[in-house]
Amino acid sequence: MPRSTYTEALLGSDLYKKVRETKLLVVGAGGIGCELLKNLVLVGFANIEIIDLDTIDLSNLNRQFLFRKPDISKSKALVAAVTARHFNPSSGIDIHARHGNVKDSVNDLEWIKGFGLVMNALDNMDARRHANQLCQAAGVPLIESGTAGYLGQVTPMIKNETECFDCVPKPAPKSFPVCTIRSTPSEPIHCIVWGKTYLFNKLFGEDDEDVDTEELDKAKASGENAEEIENLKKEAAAFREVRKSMGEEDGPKNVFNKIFNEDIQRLLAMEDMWKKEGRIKPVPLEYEAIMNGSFRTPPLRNAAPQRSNGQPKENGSQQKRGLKDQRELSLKENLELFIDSAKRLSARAIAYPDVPLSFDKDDDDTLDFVLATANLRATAYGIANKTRFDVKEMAGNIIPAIATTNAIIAGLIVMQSLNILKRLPTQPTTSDSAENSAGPAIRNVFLRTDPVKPLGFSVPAKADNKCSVCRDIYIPLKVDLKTCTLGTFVNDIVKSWLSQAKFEEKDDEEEIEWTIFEGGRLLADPDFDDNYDRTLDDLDVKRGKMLTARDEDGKYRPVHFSICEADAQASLPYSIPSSPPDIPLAPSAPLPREPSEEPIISDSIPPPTTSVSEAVPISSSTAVGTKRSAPDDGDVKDLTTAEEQVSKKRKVVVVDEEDDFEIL
Amino acid sequence: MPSSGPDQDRRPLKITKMDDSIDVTEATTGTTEIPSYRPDAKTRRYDRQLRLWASAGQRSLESARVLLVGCDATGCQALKSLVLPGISQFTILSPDLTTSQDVATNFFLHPDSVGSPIAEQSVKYLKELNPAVEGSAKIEEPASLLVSDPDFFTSFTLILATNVEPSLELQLADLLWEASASVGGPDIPLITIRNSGFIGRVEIQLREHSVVDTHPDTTHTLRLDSPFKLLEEHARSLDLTSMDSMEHSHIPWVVILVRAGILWRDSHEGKLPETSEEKAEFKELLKKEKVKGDEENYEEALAQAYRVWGQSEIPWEIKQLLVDESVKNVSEKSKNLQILLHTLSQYVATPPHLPPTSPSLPDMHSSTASYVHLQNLYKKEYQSDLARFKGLLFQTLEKIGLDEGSIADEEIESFVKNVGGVGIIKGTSLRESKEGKGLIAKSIEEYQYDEYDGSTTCFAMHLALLASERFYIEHKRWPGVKCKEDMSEDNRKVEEILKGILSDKAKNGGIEDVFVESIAEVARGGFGTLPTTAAFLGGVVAQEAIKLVTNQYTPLDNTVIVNLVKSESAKFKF
Repeated sequence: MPRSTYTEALLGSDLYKKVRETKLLVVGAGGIGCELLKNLVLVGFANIEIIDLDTIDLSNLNRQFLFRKPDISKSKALVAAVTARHFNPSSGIDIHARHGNVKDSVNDLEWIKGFGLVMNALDNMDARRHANQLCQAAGVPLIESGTAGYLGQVTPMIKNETECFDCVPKPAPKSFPVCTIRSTPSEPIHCIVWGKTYLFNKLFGEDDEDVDTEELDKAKASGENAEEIENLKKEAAAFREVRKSMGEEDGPKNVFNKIFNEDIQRLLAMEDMWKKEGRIKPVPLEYEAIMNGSFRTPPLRNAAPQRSNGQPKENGSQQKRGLKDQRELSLKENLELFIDSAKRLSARAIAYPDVPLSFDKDDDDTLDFVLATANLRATAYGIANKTRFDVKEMAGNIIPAIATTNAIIAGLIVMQSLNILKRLPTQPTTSDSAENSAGPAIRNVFLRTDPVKPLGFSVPAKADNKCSVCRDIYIPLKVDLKTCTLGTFVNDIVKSWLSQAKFEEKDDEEEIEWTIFEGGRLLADPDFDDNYDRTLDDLDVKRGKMLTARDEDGKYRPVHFSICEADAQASLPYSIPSSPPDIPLAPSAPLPREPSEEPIISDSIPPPTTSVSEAVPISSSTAVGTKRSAPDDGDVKDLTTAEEQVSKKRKVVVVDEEDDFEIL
Repeated sequence: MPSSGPDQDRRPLKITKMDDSIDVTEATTGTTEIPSYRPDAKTRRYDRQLRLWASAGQRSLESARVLLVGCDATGCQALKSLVLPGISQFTILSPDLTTSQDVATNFFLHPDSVGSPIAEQSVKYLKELNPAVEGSAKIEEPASLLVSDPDFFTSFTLILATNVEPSLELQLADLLWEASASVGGPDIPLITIRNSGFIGRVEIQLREHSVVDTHPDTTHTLRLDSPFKLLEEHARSLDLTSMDSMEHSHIPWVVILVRAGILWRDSHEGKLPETSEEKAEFKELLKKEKVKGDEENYEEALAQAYRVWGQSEIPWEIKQLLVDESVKNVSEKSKNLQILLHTLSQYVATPPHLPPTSPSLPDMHSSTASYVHLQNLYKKEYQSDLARFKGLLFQTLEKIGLDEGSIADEEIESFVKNVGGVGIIKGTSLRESKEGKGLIAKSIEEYQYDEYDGSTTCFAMHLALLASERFYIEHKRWPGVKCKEDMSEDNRKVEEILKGILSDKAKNGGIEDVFVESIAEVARGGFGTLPTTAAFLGGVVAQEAIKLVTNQYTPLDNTVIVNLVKSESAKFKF
């Protein structure tokens, strides 16, 4: 039956043909992804790959409409594809769904080059950056998008034409000084961050002694109390002992006594620490006394004034609403919850000793533990307790999310995708031809709560010449990692092949000296050839990663070789394009993301750098330790306000639930 | 690729009606008992939206009954986004049978639906989105139902009409407008959608709508110009000279400015800076206070200095509300918001003639101790302002014969905390604007074409849609649709109608190109629904419906045109 005659007529046959034939990649099958997939199949896109690593949670169902309750814990991508296909059974639509990460090694440069257009429907900065770099490297147009509550935006990113995701600086993560978190908390958030990022990992998570020591040394170097730091080091060592005993019958009780009694006693012994203005001494908690009700709860440090009628300030009105998670727990309930959740987590840790646990806001055991710990700690320090609802939001960086905003944004994404497709040449040709073909204007679109101008359209800015992602040079390198050595790479590819390139403003005599990096690791430089005999595989250079050649003087743009699957027919262990590209000068200012200069010779993979890409606009200003946001009633209002300010500045609002707080 | 045919048994199991009685916490954690502190399945499902409109908004949503008249892709997309967050009930009213074209554009239909009543089919699929929501189909001719059973329409909380015949649209609007005319009569918002290809329009008719929380950008009435007693004492007590540089660079900017304002007043006969010279001098004095060049708190103070001479008054929009008759004269039939505003006007009638203090402070560079101290000052002041406000409110309530408890504490507190964040919107009738009377007549008169301004193109699109609607009323069909002759003949007729709407402006015979082009674009769309336009408009409509139902955030008032060919949109108040 002629299902698409109307659409075809309205789009015109040329464009409709492109719609039918263009291979699309949708990264993410969440809030925006579901809406997007629906729109794409309705418009007639027939060749769609959708990838998502996540599984379905109950809290998704208020907006991710391709999922139903029985789908909970199933793969988002797979279920979304099945449902979308079901609703369009007769239009010859091929949806290839993959349960996986866009960062997986198989998703290399060659893979991304297979798509005519990529659409991001992501919830975290890390994956956005990755997809952006892949698209920039391959010259594939990308449509980036995000929503936060009633706000949203769509940003097309086209190589050599618009700015890319990394051209725009992102807000710094919310960060706290290490001593504030570990010794002298004064706000509920400090207690939550402690429970979530410190205690949880110490007891159940991946415990890396080196990382911990490094963090403390860094804090000391940056001027934090030396005595306190030494104390914290001892404390950390003691935790390793405690962790072993967690599974025992009295394990959780002993941990309670250690953390909330002994450790606090020890802190109290450091008299100097409590002399500083504004510091209030904590009170050690006593297990038996709390259980039998004889424990005297320390007063709140900034107690809210009593109501005029003498009633204590309570959550009575909220209780009446019947939302269980918006009720404050009593001290005893918190203690019982601590013991109970610690037991549940220990049981899981014992059952699967090789799988370190990690905090997940939707994992009730972990949320219970963080809730209880944060509140116990808050009580000891005279800080107001928080409800489960609030702790979940604060610990999980939760962004309000609703169906309507996602629907609007997904509609706009498809509109922009049609504009991009119109510009593409009908026959596949070289990547720079897009520039020449005049097409409809592509637009950045912003959805705001401004009642006067709810929708804002703007012309995308030009790429930032200093951007180290979209202005660099990318070369696909098909290579057999097991046979190709670093020496071969340096000598055959960099020194002989790359040197034939046309370098901007290069003197004939000028000899370029090369330094080779993989990510942040230095693998070789003119005075460092220790790794030459090792194969790339041995050096943990894997498919999907990049080898970067930088000239020693930083005069030219860095050249990134993207590792792709080896060409089976090739005679050499590698294959590269026949002629090297032109290499332009680097911008004068230093590139923002310079890797560390630390040579790495060992076999070990460097520890994953802690995610610094928190874009949740809890505080839109660059937060440093002394910035305080109002700890009023944990009102979501403040959050929305901050977000609006961010979006009004026309900067990218990125919605990020996965990223973490940074502790300085 | 698995080729799935239209046969019913291929439908995956999960699409069938599911049983919601099993709590998911049981299913996922394996415990049989839900601890008291854990949210139930409903709260968990709605977690992400509760953080946006809170439980008060959710309660309103869960008691909302929504009627969709006409059943096309846009309407169903809108309903989808209302069913998901959990309205109480929805009804689709349409006598039509499903065509294959409907299936092609509407996600919530199946090829098997062809030939069955479209309302019934759409309800079936939409209900699957949320088992907590009731849905029903009314397979009747809306026009005759309007005559035979007008009460049917007025039983809903909100009505959506997507792409229904222009005359029906007007009759429906008239019915609701008249129903709301009498005091205490139902004021049911009507959202109408007109859509042709890439062009879309959303209109909202309501008589009066109150917004209890507009979620404004700034709620902070910091009282820098007229500090309350505690704040003034605190600012005066600061001894800058005895501070070390650490302490000095952590004084909150609020305190810096309050102090500077007081000192200025002391030496200027009680006046704050008024002229631009004085303001510049004030800032210079601030700069001199710095002990180091890069004190962040002083940078913030300088950036916020304008607040010292800005007055802590009630926002202009709220002042307008206070003089409204419905606020000046309250009775037991008045809405809560009107009674609260009435009390506010009494509150500001007494010295110091200022709105209540807000208990929250913005982000600032400060030490924890001084921030918390400052915050406590504001909180204390808020508590005493709240007590005074409540005293006045209780007097008012008594006077109009209501008891003290008739407005919940929660509502009073949120009003006092957020005085700038309420609003009352006065609407106009759809008929008035469609007939070119009232505000739209003024817009037409003032209309000036500027080719760089997207909003004039959107205005032209609106007039093209209006003219097409008049064409429909006359010819019982859309221009360019099902006509034997050339489309240009229809377009010419529409141009004539548009000329009539423009009246005086087009007396020299011709109309500007932008109108001709708009008519052509609207006609080209064939008054059909493109899936992307439907997705977009459906989202916009549902968004507005939620704002209207929850009484939170300011809804679009009252006409929005989107031109997705050029990525343009504009909002008009007609």
